[in-house]
Amino acid sequence: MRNKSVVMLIVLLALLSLSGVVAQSDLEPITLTWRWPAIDPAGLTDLQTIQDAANEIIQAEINATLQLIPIELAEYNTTMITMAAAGEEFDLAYTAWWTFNYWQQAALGAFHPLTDLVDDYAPTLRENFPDYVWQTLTVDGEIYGLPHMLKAPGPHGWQLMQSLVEEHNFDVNSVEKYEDVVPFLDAVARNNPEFIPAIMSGAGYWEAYRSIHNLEEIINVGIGFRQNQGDLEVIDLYNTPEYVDYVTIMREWWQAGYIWDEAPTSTNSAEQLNRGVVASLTNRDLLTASGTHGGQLYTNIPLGPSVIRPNTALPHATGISRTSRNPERALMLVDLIHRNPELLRLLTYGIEGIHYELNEDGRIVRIPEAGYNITFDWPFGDTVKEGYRPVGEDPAFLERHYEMLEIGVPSRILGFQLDTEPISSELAQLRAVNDEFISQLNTGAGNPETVLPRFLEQRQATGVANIIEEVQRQVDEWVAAS
Amino acid sequence: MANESPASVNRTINRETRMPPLPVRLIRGEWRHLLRQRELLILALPAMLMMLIFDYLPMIGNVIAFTRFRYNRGIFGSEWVGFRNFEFFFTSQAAINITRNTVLYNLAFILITLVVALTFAVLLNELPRKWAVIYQAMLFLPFFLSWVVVSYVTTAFLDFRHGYANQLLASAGQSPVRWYFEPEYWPYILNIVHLWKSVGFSTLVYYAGIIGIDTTYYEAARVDGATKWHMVRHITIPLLMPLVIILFILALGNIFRGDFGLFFFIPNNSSFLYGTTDIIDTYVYRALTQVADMGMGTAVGLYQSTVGLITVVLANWVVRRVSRDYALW
Amino acid sequence: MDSHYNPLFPRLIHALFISVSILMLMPMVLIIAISLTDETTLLTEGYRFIPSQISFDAYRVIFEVPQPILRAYGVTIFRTVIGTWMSILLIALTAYVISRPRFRYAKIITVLIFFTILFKPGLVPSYVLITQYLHMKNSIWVLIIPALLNPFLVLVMRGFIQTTVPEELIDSAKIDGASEFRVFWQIVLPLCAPALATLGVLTAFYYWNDWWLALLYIENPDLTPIQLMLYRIQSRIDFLSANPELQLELGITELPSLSLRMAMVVVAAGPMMFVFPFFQRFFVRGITVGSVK
Repeated sequence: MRNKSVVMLIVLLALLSLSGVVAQSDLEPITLTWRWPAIDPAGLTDLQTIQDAANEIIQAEINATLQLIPIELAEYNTTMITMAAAGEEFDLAYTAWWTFNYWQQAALGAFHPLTDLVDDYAPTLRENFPDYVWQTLTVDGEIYGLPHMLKAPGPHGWQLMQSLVEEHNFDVNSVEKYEDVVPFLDAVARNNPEFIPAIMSGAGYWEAYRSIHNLEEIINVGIGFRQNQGDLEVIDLYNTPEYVDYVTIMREWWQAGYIWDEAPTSTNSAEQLNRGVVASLTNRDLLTASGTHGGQLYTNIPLGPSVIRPNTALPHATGISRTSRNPERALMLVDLIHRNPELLRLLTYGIEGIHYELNEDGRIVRIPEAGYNITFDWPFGDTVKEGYRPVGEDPAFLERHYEMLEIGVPSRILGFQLDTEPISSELAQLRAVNDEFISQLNTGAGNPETVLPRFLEQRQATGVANIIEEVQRQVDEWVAAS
Repeated sequence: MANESPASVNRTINRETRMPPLPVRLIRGEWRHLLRQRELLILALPAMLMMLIFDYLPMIGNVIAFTRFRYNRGIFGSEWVGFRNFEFFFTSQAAINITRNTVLYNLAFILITLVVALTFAVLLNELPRKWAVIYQAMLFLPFFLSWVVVSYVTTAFLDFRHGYANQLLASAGQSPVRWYFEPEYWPYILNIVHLWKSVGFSTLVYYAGIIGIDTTYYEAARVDGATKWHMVRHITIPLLMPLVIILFILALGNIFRGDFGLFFFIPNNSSFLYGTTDIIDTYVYRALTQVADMGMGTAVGLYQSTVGLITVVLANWVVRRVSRDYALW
Repeated sequence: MDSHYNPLFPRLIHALFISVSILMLMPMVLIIAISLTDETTLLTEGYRFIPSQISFDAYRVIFEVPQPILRAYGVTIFRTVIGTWMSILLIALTAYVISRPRFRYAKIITVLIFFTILFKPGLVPSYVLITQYLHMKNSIWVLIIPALLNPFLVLVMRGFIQTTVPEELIDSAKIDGASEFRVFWQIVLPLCAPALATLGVLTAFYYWNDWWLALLYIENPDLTPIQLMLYRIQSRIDFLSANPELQLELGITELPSLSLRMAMVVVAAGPMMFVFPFFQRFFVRGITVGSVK
């Protein structure tokens, strides 16, 4: 008798350990919607095929049916905010720092809290992502989203068009400081009128410049701190010697004709880049030795430190709506994608032979007209981890990726969440003031001797001191707590 | 309808020995009106329903201007913060300048469009109908282009290097102008672009009004030997007045609300020009686009609507003093 | 009477309108020219009214897969035709009611209508109402019904009726025992034909050009109107240009060219512009069927 019950217990435990199978038969069939930003969703004519193929896998594992809803990239933010604000029912949605802002929307109550559910329903995710990612996801002590891609921090630096570097025999190793590229810019400006020596948007190169000089931002109105100094003192980044240096350099470059003369007014710097007429630019995340824009090869010259910022820690995330009826199953689905590379590949690239082919290096080549070219490789899961990299990329990328994950330095405020509520009026005003001056100063088009004092004066008048004080208070509190 | 005749009132009093209380009487009186004019009321019903559903019910949502809106608490469950969401606008340094810009531009737009469109409509009426329709279609063409697309066209003219404006200046021996850096030209540019894009609309409306005028008036005037100018002054313009005034009052209602596309895309959002191109709507866009703060956005909208309402009530009051028939209400 | 008439006068008017028409037409020509110029020529020569080399590449790209474009035309034409007719009737009817001087509730209804011009409904409650109560998301009617009653045009139409319809005419019809609806249908509508044609054009214009309703309420690609397609191409460019660093971040390497965008403008607006002159007449005829004028 006793023996029998022990056997029974063992059998029972064994059954339970195959929880996936056990759970599946217990699970009610449900449908999960997943919205993500896509380019030209109407062009994804073969969406149904992918969905059917994916559902074969998903139904067998978690007895759910996935419905994919791609939404036009530029509309994604508006659409999702409206849906969330209206409390419309949806399950999974892409969220990040650049659209449907994760932290903002989590604080506004768009997402289902997941802190208690992750361990039970998404153990693979918990394991795959380091603690700092989960800290970055925490808003008011609660996790509201799932990471789905790990990004390595890369330094800021210059990208110079390789053919022009060769033409002018420019020694890229000579660039140690940011402004050491002047000889190159000068040569291009004088000899290659068909090229724009340095392209920038109205924001200029300030982000790169300040990062190279260890200035980090807390909130993107120019409030930050020094990454390399002892105490976490909140400062006005536009009121630093570094900013004076920066605007002085840009003014010289503007007057020398190095900077694209439409930079302060035009919004189509991206277009110029794609035309292959740009000799140089500063960029971020320079992991490899070269990169391409508009079919042109660029030599990378990394200059700054590799800092893990909130945007690096959480390049992409998946939120589960607070209106979802099946948050657990949604978690299981995300987890499943991370356990099942085949499913990830299917959702991201389609079916081999129909929507993509493998080239001789084993890299995935999408077939544009096949009806499932979603352009991106980041909406669903960690394709980097699975080693799917675009054709033509420096083969050293993956190696560098893991290397940088090891040596990247976390930002000193990683995990800190600013509550903007007490200073929301001042922040709104400050944003409007910034917009008025920054594009003039950061591109060198405005004379810093007259414009910079006016800018700082306006910032003062807008109450930048209050903002600094409040941010400092919150930062101190956070430091004390952690 | 007209007031009740004294006789019928007397009869009512005689029949009812005890007078019902005043509210009941008022309701009954109103009910009689409702019954008598039920036909017109029924005809108005579809529109009333549409307004109720698509305008008035969702209008309640404007209360989020006074709350700290949280999705999970809903519109009415969110914390009440009074006028906090209005602070950012009213305490901003720019408030006066952008309000002035908004109002002045709108006034200029209203007056210039009125004069030009009215002139065009009157002149069109002098041409055979066939030609009038063709010219009208031409005038209406720019209306088909979004402001973004128009901004490409204006850039083609004002671009520093390739622009036609600077090519013209060069051929006249003048030095080129950096149009997008020089704020002083923009009041003119914006007025021209606005007139160019919107004159077709108003011309169309006024022209339709003119051809609706009973031709017997003109024939009678012609018999009396009136000149064209006389007929325009004494027949066309007075008969168009209800339309002109309606369009004028409607435009006044939105005088604190700028055409975002015009002021944002045409100056290429160049910060050099903000002094003369920044209006309430572009300022609010810049301040709030990153945070998507619905409370503050709604607050500014409410402010614009409220001052617009005040303007219209005043304008309507003035119009009523002049002529009851022309007033909006 | 002819003594007052200067024969030069009509010619001067023609001259004026011809030059104004050229001003109006020029940008359209420029847009067509850009759409026919290939990208490299644009880059080297800037915008030109007459491209040195004509290229139909942009149109070829657009019509490469013609089904989505044709379907979008279908959606747009449907909503424009149905929406305009329904809207015009509703507008005219409402305008008639509030133009009756002896209608006790005319003032209050006018004010109610006017109020909706000033005070806009909130986006979120509208969205909740339409999606969760009226269940109109992904329905073609959501592209038509919310925009049926244009308050601005109702008030303009009231102005037209006051200008055009003599009060005595209505009174005499009433004395003859005509119902309000009959007066509206048989007297007011035919008399206001030119005004209705104008309103028809403006309404049709709205329905043809609006993309906002579709952006909010249509997720089904089969119900995308043509203007939303155009808007999407444009907004994608604007979005990425405003955040150029995103391109590297997201791995976007190709953007629609300027000539493609301009070709899309032509494709989206073209049919309506072509139809426009005929549209008015078609409308007038439709409305005045059976009446003498």
